[in-house]
Amino acid sequence: MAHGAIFLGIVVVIALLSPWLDVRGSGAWLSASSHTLMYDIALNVILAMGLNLVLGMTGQFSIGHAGFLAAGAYAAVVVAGKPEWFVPQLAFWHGTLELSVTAGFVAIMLTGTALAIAVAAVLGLVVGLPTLRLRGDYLAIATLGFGEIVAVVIGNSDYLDATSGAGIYAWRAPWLNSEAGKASPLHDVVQKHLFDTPYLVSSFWILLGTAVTIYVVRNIKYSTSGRALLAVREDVIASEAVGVPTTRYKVTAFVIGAALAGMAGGMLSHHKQLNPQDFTFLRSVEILLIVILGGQGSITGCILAAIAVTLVPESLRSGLPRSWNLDATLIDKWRLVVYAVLIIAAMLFRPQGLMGRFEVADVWRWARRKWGAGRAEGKVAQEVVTAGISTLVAEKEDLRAGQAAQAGPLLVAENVTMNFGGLCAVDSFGLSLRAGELVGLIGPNGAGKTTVFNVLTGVYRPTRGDIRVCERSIVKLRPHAISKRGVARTFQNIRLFANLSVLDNVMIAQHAHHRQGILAAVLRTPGFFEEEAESRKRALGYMDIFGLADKGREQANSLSYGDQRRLEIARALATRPKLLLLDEPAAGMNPTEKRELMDLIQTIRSRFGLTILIIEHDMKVIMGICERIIVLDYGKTIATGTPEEIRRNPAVIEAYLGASAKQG
Amino acid sequence: MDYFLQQLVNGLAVGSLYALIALGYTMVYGVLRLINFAHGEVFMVGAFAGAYTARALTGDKTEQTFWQACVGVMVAVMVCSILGWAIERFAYRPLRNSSRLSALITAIGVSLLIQNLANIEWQFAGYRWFGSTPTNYPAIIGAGEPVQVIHRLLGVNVVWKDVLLLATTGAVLVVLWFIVQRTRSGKAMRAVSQSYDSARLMGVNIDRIVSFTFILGSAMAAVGGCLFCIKNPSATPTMGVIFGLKAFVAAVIGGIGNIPGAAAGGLLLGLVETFVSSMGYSRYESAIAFVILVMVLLIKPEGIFGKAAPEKV
Repeated sequence: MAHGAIFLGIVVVIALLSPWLDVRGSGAWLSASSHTLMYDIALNVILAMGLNLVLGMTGQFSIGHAGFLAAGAYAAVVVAGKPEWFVPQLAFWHGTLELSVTAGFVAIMLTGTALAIAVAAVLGLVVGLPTLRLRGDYLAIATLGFGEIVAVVIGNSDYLDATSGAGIYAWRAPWLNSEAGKASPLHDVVQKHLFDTPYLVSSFWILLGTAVTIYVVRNIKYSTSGRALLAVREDVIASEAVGVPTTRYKVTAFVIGAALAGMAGGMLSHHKQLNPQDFTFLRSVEILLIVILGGQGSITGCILAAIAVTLVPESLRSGLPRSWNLDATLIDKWRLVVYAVLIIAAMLFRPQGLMGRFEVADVWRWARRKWGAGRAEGKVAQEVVTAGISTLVAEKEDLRAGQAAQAGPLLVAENVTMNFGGLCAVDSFGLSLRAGELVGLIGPNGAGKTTVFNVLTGVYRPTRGDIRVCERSIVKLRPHAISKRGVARTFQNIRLFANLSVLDNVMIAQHAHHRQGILAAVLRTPGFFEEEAESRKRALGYMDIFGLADKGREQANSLSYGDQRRLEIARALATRPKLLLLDEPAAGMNPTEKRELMDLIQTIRSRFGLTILIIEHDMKVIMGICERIIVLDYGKTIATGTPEEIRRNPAVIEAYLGASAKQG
Repeated sequence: MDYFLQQLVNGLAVGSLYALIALGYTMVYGVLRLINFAHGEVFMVGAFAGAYTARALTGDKTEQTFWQACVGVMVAVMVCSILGWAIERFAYRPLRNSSRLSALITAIGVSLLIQNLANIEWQFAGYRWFGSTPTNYPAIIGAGEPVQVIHRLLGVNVVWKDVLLLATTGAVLVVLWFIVQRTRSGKAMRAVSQSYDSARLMGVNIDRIVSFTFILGSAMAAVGGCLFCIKNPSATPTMGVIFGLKAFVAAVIGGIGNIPGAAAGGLLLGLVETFVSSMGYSRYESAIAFVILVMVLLIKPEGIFGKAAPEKV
């Protein structure tokens, strides 16, 4: 809360200062070139923030960002730059509504920018929706292509006055000097305004736009949506498994990034005369460079990098000694060489850029913790943990009631077959789970057990067969939708969100139960804070059950192996499932840990009213806790029954030990 | 009819160039799952190498003999092979175990670096090297003449240039087929692109095979660069950008990672581009490739010859 207030305060101060920063009147503090530089920095910041959302936080490689900038800029020009649109608008705002001239110009600029944002957002949707469901490389290709198409269209279009360059000030001379212009009642108005106070219109809005952009991106980053984006970046499959609709998030981030670029374009068109050369692939690369140098995912890093990347070439251009006799174009060419070298060097030696994923605030906190009084900050207050547990305990009663009401089987799999090309991985698999059962799925390596899990959770769509959870078919659903229906899983090779904290890992899993969306996150509504606090309490409750409550701030991949496995189960539990699928949870554990795990599984089953299906190789664990066991071999079910029956089943013995063992 | 045949020949000529470059992209993608953005720049360097060899052999004249051009191609192949090897060795190999995103970004960086270094005019040993003013590639004497045989048979004006282009590309493709299908290295390359880890476990020296792939692709790009200059005699530093991009699109259309697909994609793109351009939309010629790309990505993202492969969890 405090941060937001400080931030708004800064915005207000900057906005009030902006008239002082304007030029073309007396009393200016900055020269015209510094002024222009400041705007360039501001625009680069907006562009970098947008790309950071897509590339830095969501991990989607988009290299056509200049295309959205161009789309926004030219859309704004069409509304605000062409005389046939401009004059009627001014006539309306100034003439009809009798707003002052300045206000009229502001209104025109705002309509231009609003259209710019809309056009860019629509384009973002058009480009993003089909390509974001494909592999990462394809997005790079598609955005590259998009950027090129936009550049070609702009370069060749007569309507956009490509060769002369369109811009709000470029057309004024012909219009003002023409017969129609001179006769128009707006002639003096436009003349006075354009020559006397042009920047008053744009400086305030550019700075405001920059501040709003930073605020919006920051709010998204520190919210459920932000965590979800980071999760998508870390591991798409694990994100889907905990209920994050990954494609929807990718597209949302992409559209927001495009809209921000569009806004920058709209403002650019009021600030400068547009030149099609400004919107080529090189511009996209420049924005990419800023995000890479600043740190993918870091807001302060990007701001610093934007300032550096905009200032350094300018100061070099004016600062190098005249005696070196370098002409401007040569410096420009070397500038690009330097960009290229920086990109390569960054990737080879410091891929996380200046600040990685962290902000200045994070660095400050780390320093305080290391050297200062905040040593106790790592431990979470006991009251919060207790509150979390009591929330979960209260829910247990509802779960038990729900379970009792469950009449039919919880999960039914009928004739499920999974073929990969010519290989039949799972053949006519059938399963019926009643609520509250603890069933084991065993078989030699390669029998198809994990494939069954993948089919049950929607990672693969079965070639044939049906799967129903609580009487409703889940076969056509995406994994995150299946997770919402109450099916959670862990993975054979641990798939945690490695670079995120333990707490974040568990909090992300509660995504499906969050009602507050991205808009609430941006606006920071009271409902948003309530939900965040609630989510945190619950997450701590889950972590406490698994003994991880005081490890909240640690990075997930720094935990011990056993802790990581427990964290994965805690994360799965946080999705509030009815059915929990555990894939080799005891792998890599010593006998003591295995005993503890067996107790833990029994505890959570009764406590949360879960139905559990467990894949395991360790017979002690399986025989120890399972009520029923299904045995797979080469994709086929060769036996089902109680542990005793399975132990003596000749087909099972043959599958594991070979035919000769049967006789022995 | 004549016009149609003429455009057909043009389309095939351009398409075969696209195919040559597309093959480089697709082979590298097959073994490393990396889009080698710098490949277009290797093509450009090949063109310049050919031009400078001609400059040295003919003494800065505007025409060269066929044999001089051959020497030019050989020099270009050597230069580009070294360049391709160096790019892989110093920019991509250190990142082989990093994320795909890092490798992609580095590839863009390398592409930019070469492009912009070439954009600067260097003075060395009394000669000008590279620079943004177009460098002239001397025309091959007699290449502009129409082929008499075809003119008499079909009444079409097909110049020797086009025949040279098609014949050379055809020969290169045959050699490539032979290398990929009939040699041990080719087999190893196919193995690596099917399963990186299994190939490693079977004793394939990954570093060697990757270098081999890059050298092979770069050599073909060098030939492509010189052939391109036979048709369009001026070489500029940015020629590799758009051409490389379009060749890459051709590779995606055919199925990225798929060798016959790249060849087919290249020819297809060349033909479509030529025909659309001849219908009067030549201003938007550059955009055609990307429009096709978008359509392919929407309808069949794995390309014409590609197979949709589900990811193993």
